[in-house]
Amino acid sequence: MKWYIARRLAWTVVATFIILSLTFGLMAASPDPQAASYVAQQVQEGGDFEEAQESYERARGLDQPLWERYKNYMIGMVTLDWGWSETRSQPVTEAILEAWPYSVMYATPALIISTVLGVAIGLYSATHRNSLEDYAASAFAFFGISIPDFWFGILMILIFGVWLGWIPIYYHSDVPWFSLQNVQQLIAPTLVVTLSSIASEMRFSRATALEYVNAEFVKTAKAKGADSWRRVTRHIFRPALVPLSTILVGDILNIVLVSSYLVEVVFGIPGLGQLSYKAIIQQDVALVLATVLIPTFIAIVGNLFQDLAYTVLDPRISYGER
Amino acid sequence: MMGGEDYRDRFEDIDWDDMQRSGLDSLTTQTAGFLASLGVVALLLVYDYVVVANDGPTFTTPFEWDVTQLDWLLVVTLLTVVFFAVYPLYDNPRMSRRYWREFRKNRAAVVSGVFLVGIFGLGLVGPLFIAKPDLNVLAQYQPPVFLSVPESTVGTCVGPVSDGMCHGTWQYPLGTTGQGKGIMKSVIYGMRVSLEVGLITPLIIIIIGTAVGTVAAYSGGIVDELLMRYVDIQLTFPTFFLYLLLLYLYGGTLFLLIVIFGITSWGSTARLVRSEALQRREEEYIQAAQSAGASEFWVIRKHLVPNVSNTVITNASLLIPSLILFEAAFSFLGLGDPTVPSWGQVISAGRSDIDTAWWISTIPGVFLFTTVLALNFVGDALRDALDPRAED
Amino acid sequence: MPSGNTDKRINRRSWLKALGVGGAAGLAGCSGEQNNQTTTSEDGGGQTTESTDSATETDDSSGRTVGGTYREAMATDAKSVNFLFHSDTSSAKFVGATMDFAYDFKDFGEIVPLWVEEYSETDKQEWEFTLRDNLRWSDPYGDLTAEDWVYTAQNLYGALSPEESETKENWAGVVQFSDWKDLTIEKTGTRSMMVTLPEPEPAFIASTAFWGGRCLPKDLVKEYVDNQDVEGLKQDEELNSLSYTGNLGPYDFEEWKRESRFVATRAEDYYLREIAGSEEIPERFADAPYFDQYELQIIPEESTRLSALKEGDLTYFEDVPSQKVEQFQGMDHLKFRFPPNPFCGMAYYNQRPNGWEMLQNTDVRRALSTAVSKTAIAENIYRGFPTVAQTFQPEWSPWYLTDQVEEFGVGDSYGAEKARSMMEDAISGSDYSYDGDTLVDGDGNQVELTFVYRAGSQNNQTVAEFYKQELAKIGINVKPTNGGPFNTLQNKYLLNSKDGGNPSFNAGLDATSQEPWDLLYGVSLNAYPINPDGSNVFWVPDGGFNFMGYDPEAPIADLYQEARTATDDETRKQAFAKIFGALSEEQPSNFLNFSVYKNAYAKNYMGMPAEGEYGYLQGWDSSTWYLAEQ
Repeated sequence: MKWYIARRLAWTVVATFIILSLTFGLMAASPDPQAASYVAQQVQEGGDFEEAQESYERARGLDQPLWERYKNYMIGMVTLDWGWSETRSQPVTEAILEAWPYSVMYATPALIISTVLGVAIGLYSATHRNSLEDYAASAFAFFGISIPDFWFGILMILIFGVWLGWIPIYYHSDVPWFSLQNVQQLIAPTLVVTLSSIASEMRFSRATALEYVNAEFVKTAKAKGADSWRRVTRHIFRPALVPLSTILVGDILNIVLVSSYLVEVVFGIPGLGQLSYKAIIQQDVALVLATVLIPTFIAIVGNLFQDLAYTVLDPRISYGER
Repeated sequence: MMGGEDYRDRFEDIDWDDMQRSGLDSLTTQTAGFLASLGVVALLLVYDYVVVANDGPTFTTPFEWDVTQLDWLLVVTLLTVVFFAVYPLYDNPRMSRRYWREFRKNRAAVVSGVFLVGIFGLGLVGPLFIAKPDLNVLAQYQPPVFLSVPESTVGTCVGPVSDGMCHGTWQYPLGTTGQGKGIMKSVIYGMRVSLEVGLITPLIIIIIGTAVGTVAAYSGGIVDELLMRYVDIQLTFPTFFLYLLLLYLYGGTLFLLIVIFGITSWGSTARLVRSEALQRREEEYIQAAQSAGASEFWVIRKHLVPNVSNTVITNASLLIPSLILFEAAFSFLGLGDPTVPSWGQVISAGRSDIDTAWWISTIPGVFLFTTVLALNFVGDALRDALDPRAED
Repeated sequence: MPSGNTDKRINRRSWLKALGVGGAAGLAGCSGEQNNQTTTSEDGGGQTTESTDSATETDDSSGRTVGGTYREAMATDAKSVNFLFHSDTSSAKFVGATMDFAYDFKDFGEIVPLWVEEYSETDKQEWEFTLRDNLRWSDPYGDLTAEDWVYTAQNLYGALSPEESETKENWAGVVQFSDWKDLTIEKTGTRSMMVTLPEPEPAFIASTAFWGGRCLPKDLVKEYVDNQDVEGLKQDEELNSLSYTGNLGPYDFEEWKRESRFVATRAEDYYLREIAGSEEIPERFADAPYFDQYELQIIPEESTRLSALKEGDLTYFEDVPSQKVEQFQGMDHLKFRFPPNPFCGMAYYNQRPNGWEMLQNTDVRRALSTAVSKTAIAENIYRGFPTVAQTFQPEWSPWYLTDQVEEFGVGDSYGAEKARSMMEDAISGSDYSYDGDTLVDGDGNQVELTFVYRAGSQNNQTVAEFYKQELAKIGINVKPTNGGPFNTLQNKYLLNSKDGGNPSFNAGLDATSQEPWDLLYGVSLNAYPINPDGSNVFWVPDGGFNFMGYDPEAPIADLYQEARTATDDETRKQAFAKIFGALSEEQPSNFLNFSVYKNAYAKNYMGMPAEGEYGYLQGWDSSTWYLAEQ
């Protein structure tokens, strides 16, 4: 087991390295929009094209050979000197430190609510299959998954912000973090993210639980007189946790990689989603590399825990000998 | 341009003796039919690219149809669906009846199914007969028929004006966008786009994901390790970023979007299939098959794949709608294909107008919403119906 | 900044900045505002004439009280407040709140002296500038003197000292380089400095070296200059927190929360207050600025920004989308101004070898321009806000002479029939001919033109599709093509090269771009009505930005040279009139329109010129605008 964990950790490092290298390669291959507009501007003002290009590259250190730049970036990554963000004029580490609390503020409650509620409803649906409640729960889940995040966000702003005046129209970053006002302005984004992720939790827990509802051991338990609560929690929930843990990691990633972009853009939250989206759009190399690290860590570490969870939850699977 | 060549390669690769030995008689007709159809498609493809003059429509009779790259992919996808989903059902009427009995139990799913057949049928056929939504600068922001809006919203009112209110007309039954494009036409074209996104991408994902997942689970060891580590990387790598790069280099097209998502997002499916298959692998029937001397291919094909199919289908039932939503999200971020009138594109174009011209975003939004809803219901019912262990 | 719209904004903005006007003139409130209809004739780029028009300022300081918060929503965040490296409009706006600059224009030829108190010139070649004596950096940098300016110019901007003659290298990659690289500067006193030009230039004052120009404290940058330390210069804490700005601007920097907000507070000792009441600086500057706090809120999503405006959260909103103006005009808490804007929207004709060969024929281009209704584009696509353009100068510019300009695409000079007959004349003798209603080439195939538009704005696509409809009427098939965002567009279509050489915007007239194109839309250029000298880069055969490969029949290069060096205003005016006349005749591109800003203000935000009188450049005194008591 220890050996297995050690290997997985080593892998984490390798994978991160591979992903960073790939990202660096892609960045190097794509045209830089800032260079384009800088050069265009200089030429329109009567400057020389090549001269403008050269001075741009020199000022950004782009005149060094690719390998040199790659080496510098990688060494910087390891030594936690993540470089300077050209589009925000601040060190990359500072940019990330500034941004992450905002994402955590709405993503954490959203994740907790959607997991707890999603799994609970899913299990209920599975045990009460084809009942009215099952349909209602399905309809609710489908509603959540069917409504586009951004569209829902805009509607919420329009209805609750503009028409009813219950929530602020855009995110005020000057409000203290632990204040009622902040809670108030986080409700809408949290709700949007929750709704979009609760459905997948629910669907999956329902689907997996259904497989066990009619399993022999559940019937046996029933025959032995276990009440339905016990059957659900002990006999259905536990085995169902294995595939469910898969979706949890995926869910967090989904929030980090997709929802956060949309939600933060719509509500104007200065979190990680906006940070990395802007970095990519504007091709801020240092910032892109750093923000790519975040989902990488979540995914790789998350997957590790998930694999370990398999062995704990389902004794039939063992990594012992591997 | 999915070359027909790929398929011909595959044609030759198949070891017929092996197949015969495995007793896959029914599969032979099926596969042969599939390959023959692919051959026809390949010929047509060659015809389109070699014979037909540049940019000319591929067909002129019975209707004019300039087949695009995406259309070709769609045709191939539809063929796959016909031969590997519809044909087996036809071939095995007893099973089909059983599935149908199961499926029928879920009335919402039946209604949804009918709705989807309508939507996708229209999406498939509609664009062949209806012209692309046309720009009309003299008909911007027209309200849907029977409705009216203040004249200040519309540029020029096409319909009657009374009391400063512009009324909708039958010329644009669902109103128009800020570009004066009829929303009705846009919605129908949007159906086609959703059909493409919702069919082609998941098919690619399911094929690759299932293959990788089962192989990894069954083989274990180094193969499992390599495949899953690759999945790790692919899952973490921001596909979005890759797409963005290609968008810069080649311009954003729907074709690019679909193909990239297809070949880069099968990771979670593979992972899921593997975790399911890992459990199945330990089950007795697999061991029984193995001790009976079944080949690896046979065990995977006949025992693992069917038994993880419910996971795959549940997964796909979530995948299809979320891919359709993904396309909309991309359009929202301004990264979609602006020349394709997808629902997402229309929603996104009208989102700033939502308080004055609600119909622009809302109507395609409702179609998007209901389609996704219907897909979910159907996927749900399918899952229940296909579960081989379900008891009557 | 997701949406297409925002993308458009960035690009348009960077263009704006590109030519100096918008970016540099970005005073606190409004950037790059433009002119009045009046076209007060007689005035070159010089100094004399007073325009009749801008006199509508309300110059009573009564009713002005200091207080409240100025709040504006912006789509994009600044990239930096270090003005050496970034000059996008947002960045310029942030810097502009905390620092004025040398001088501004309030109208054509009418200067508002800011840091520079006065200037004089000898033979239009030697220009001497004198700084005010009450300009102070923050501690420990002391007074802003000519020493600071000369040092910054020579060591960072690339200006020469009198002993030097060779063009310097732009070692730090600063944006000011192209303005300064040919200038020689020397100190002539504690507060005065002399700039010598390579050749006489009557309109130098309207070039962007000093107009909108700033300098940095010598002691702050010296260390970096000595070590040629670009990284240090870029990352210097003081440069990145504007903590050196002393009394040089209306506000002091307080906070910049990236992607969220920028806050500045009222400066306690704004230098203009001491001068208020003088001839050029009216009394109303005595307590400027009239807000306690200056807040720029960054909200990428347009619909959210508009909601904030609707809710009355904002003091000012720059450029409300055309489709929304009418609705917002109806709101009680808002009022509007529509200052014109010098950006010309054009459909360029590719006259390079990889465009349709007939586009090199002037008559063909004229026929094509006749076939497209500019009125319809302005009225229907842009909702009537832009004005129709006829040449590379707006009608309100002093350089626009009606009798020299030939009109296309409006009134009688628009029409499919007319265009068709013009086209028939133009193609006679070539392989092309009309086959019924279609224009066909020698092989009988219909002529198809590729219309490339920049992604990011729906209107660009709409124009492309509109073109398709219009040209279909004269038998030409147009293929609208999405050219991608600006950098893609630039790489594929704007940059051209010859025989595999290095690409540039104009690598010779026979160089070709990576991808073929025929028409291109979505790149607006600043016509620069204050001083159109610089526009030669677009229109002369070896012009650095002549990406369309235009080879004028008229002696445009000579005319530009004449205009640039003419010492008397009339000659200059005539030369420009000829240039812009020739451009309208030869149609190197179809000049479609000049847009206007649709700016919304809170109803009780006062001080700006009345509606209809708000012209180009009239944001110069925006630091005196105030909130009225309600």
